[in-house]
Amino acid sequence: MNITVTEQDTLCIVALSGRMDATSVSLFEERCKEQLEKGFSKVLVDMTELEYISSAGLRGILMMEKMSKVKKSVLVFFGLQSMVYDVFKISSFLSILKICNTKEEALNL
Amino acid sequence: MPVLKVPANLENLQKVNVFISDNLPEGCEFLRTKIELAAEELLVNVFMYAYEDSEQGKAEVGCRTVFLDNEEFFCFWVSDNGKPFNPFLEAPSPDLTSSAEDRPIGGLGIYLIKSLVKHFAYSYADGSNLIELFFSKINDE
Repeated sequence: MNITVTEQDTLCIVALSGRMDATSVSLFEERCKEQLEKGFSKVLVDMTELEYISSAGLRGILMMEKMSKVKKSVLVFFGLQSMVYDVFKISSFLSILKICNTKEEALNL
Repeated sequence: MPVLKVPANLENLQKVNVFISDNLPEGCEFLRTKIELAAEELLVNVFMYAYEDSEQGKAEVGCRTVFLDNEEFFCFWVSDNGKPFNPFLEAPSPDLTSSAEDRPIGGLGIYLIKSLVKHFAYSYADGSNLIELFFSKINDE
């Protein structure tokens, strides 16, 4: 999995590409935690290029979601591919995460 | 019958994905990601829980086509020599209703597998756990 972080004023975008599995999820946790600790009020997670996620990935996402609440920040996920969407749906993550179709929607939220 | 021996190390998940791609039957491309996901969930369980720290654990994976009551399935299986463990009975059910703050971390792997397959089987014989997953070869999506 590759991660690119872009910072703009009070928000930042964490863009993921490739596969978020048991071998790569710690990378996401590390980078996302870093951004939450910097105090961004909004962290967008760009999933447009993420083609695969497993329960290890879900674990990392839930940990970051919990951390964002503690840090009084908001995590917004956008651009889910069908595989990732299906796994979120089965695991009932759609109801606990902020999810948008596009970057524009996520920015306006 | 294609079989792959996998030392209990997360770095080997990639080799398992190559094995799956190499052995997918014609017309079953739609199953690739589902099988990769099921394989990861099972192997992560085996690598993390099946063996005591001192043991050099390993697992075996394999696949074959099976006719179950005359219906054709792609069967993917995982076997290990760890202590007897039936994840389908013993893994706790996940919490799917609590808020993000209250929801416990984890417990989704086996639940995901059950949602992906038509049938799942567990058996323990001759010191080995065997899990067989039956994926329908009919693409109904």
